[in-house]
Amino acid sequence: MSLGIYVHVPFCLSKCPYCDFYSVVKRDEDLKDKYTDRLVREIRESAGLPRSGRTRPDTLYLGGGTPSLLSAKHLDRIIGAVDEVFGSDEIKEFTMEVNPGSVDLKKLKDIRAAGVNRLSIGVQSFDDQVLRKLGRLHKAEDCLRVMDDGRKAGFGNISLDLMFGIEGQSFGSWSDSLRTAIELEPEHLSLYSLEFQEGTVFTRLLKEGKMKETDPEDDRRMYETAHDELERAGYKHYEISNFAREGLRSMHNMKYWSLQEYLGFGPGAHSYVKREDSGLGQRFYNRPDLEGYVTGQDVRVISEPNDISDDASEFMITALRLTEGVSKEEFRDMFGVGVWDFFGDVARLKFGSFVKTGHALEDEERIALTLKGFNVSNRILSIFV
Amino acid sequence: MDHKEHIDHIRNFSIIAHIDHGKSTLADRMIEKTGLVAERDMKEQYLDNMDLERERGITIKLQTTRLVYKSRSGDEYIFNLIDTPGHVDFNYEVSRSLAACEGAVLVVDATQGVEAQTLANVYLALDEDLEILPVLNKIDLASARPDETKEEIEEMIGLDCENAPLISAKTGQGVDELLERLITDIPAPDGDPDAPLKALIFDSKYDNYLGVIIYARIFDGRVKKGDIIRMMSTGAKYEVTEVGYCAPGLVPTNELFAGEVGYICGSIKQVADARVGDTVTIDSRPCAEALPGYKKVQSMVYCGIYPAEGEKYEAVKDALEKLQVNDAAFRFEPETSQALGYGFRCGFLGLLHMEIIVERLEREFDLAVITTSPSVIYKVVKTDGEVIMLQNPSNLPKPQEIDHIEEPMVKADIMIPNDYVGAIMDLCQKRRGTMLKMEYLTPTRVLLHYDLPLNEVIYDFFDALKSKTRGYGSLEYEFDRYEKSNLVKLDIMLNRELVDAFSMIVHESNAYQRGRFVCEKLKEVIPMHQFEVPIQAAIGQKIIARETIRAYRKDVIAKCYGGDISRKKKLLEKQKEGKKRMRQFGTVEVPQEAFTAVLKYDENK
Repeated sequence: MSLGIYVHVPFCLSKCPYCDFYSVVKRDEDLKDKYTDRLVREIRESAGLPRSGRTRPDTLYLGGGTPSLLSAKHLDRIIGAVDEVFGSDEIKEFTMEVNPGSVDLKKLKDIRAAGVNRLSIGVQSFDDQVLRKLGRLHKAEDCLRVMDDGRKAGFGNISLDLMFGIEGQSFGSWSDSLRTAIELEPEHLSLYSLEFQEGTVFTRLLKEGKMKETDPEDDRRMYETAHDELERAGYKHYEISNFAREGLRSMHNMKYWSLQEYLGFGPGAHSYVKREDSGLGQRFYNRPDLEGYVTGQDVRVISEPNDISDDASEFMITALRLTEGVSKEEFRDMFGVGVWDFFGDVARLKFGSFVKTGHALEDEERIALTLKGFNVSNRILSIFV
Repeated sequence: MDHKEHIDHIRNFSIIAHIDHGKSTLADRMIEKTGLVAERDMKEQYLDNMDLERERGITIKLQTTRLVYKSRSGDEYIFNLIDTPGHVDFNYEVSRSLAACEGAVLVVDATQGVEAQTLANVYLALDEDLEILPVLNKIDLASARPDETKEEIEEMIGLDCENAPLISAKTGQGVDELLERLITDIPAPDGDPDAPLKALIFDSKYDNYLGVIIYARIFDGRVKKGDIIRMMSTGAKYEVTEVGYCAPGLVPTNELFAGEVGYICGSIKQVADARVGDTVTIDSRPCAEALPGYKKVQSMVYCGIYPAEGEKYEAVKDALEKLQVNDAAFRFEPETSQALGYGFRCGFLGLLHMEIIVERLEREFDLAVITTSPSVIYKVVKTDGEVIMLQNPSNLPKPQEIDHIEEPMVKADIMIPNDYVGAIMDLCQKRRGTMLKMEYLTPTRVLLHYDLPLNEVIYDFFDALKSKTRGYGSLEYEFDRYEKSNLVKLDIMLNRELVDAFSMIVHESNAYQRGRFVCEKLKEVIPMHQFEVPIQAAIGQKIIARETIRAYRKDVIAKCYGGDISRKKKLLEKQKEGKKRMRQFGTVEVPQEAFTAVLKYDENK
């Protein structure tokens, strides 16, 4: 198994009211320099981190925040550091998140030239009214342009993010956005039902009664419609929120859903590695604290080492997010016993009750959730924690 | 000091009052004034020593205390203050406490006047031939109307109130005067210290070190360590290991004499062996006859108590045993339920008693339990002539085997301000009551005498009465007889499966309404499942009410990357934790609160 590398770029032009990923709104180039300095140092120092296989990375992901706010120079330094420490020749997928409106064709060409081969574009909607509600700075036309520019800059692998279940978003608006997205022929689509995360503006508004949650029935209708439309258009629904053309799943994100190793750099980034002695997992993360990060403080928080049931349970709650679910053989290879031997009869019975109601599937080879099961996946996944 | 002189300086008395009329506060003030407890050590309401009692503002377990009072004349007096429980469920205990006294201080709230419980307690005291000293409390409040209240007492009870002390237990005003009046107004005890021992058990409690502690009033004779005592009702014998006074802590002494109040220990294993109302005598020289009035306590209300988690069965059993050791009125035996597994059928004096036991299980023993619908005991006469005293509705024989069912009836006295007569008559009629008599005690106060089925009283009658009379109504009741009645078993089905723990016996005329209410309540408290859950109420094969819980539609974390798996995992763990508090019935998960939710009758429904 190879390694994934994630770099968190915590800069945004403005905070979106629904987003709880760590970022600061600062247009301070000097701060970005300092951030890059520390980032390069962090990557270099990571050579000594405990990892079982000295594997080379095959994915690199620049997420945020808004990574496209970094200059070409910053980008080169970061990639240089990764190459220097881990080697970049085996990287097959190099993704960068970009926001419509914050990149032009020249910038995209620079990004492409730096080695990025996959774009993840935060479109969210092709309806200006919905975009305003979401606090996005761009308009629908920016989305169309950035897609076009991306192709012109030579990106053959582009993913679009769309959101649904937003107050005021009509079913028609959602269908239109879906249709537009399909017409743009991206390789990959991520569709998110709006979630109210602790600490966001939306959650505050919700608590104050100034905003409403979408009726679950409407939300699920949007989701199920999207599933139908995208499958019809040739996309495979491969994870709860993700759709891809054949062979074009997000390699990097797949690591999160299959208990593979990833190292996260930058404030707020999370890592999962396997310990050399036991092969069991070890999680750690950097505190979301840019100030502390750039001033050289130790921001790393090391979690309790995983025991085998932590690993097994984390494997289940992530892998069951995938349409293909969990392969019984793979589970046995990883944990030494069969999945039901591991989780017991009570878990098996409970899971069985979801199979009966059509929320889940089980056969000789694998267990998985159905689309109906995705809708209520927390109920099913909680069997395994 | 010879015996006569000694007991001339003793006063044995109780304080009787309606709830909230200030009994406990007055007791506190007396304790403080006689210097028993330093003021700084005074807890609010010293005698109510269970947290629960203090919280609910009622006395459940008796406390007796011996106060030493230096009178204005310079003589020292011993006041044995015998506390009485303050709820209708515990009337028998009250009567036995009163039997241990020569007098009673009747506390009447001068802002409220006479209430039903005041009357009931006065009657109990008069039955015991006690001297009653009326006292008007809360005289410091602007709304106090002492003259009117005095008139009320004179008119309704026939007690001369001309010289009734006016006090404020809260501020202490008038309490010194009252202490002097105890000496002059309450007779000293008498009794022959040389006669055979005759002692009344008015309370008992279990202590880990001493075994059962008997609280007794010595009427004749004496008792000391080493004596072999005998319980007159059972003949059981015990060697006395210690005697003493309650101050209120236990203070050992050499011997207790006629006229005194104190405690006796004798390695007795459980309070049921030293029952309230029983007479204690010396085995080698017994008294000729027991004191009158001993009654074996009868449980009026039964329910099942089940561990919320099956594996806690033994722990619940241990806890119930410990509670029983201390509570002769509480009984339990093992039973099983199809829905709940292994548990216990428990008998109580009333619903309050039941709630107290359940709360104590949860608080003192940290056990989560499920209680099934409470039920009274029905007398089921089968076609073959066999008579079953039915405690558990799910054990009702098949309809074709039943000749008829009888239900317990009570005589209830309800006292209300006259403005509420219409509302309460309406309430009683809905509860299948028959009015026997209506008395105007004063132009504004009415006493209604009702004949009511006990099963209509146990659920929430008292709450309904209180709410319909803005708290001014009060209730007393006692068992009267069994009466043939048109009763049916109401069953509840979840997802088409019978849940026996919800079964209850109801009058046919109420069945439809009750069934609908239970279905609605369950719909509120049972969470959505992955499938639709029909809730049905049925009598036999006939469905009389139905609700449906929709299947849940959405519960998903849409965004799961950035690698922060720990947070998602915590979220799922929390969800699982919430499920643990659920009880599985077939395919349906039911939260524990469902079992109590269906008991609380909501007047608005």
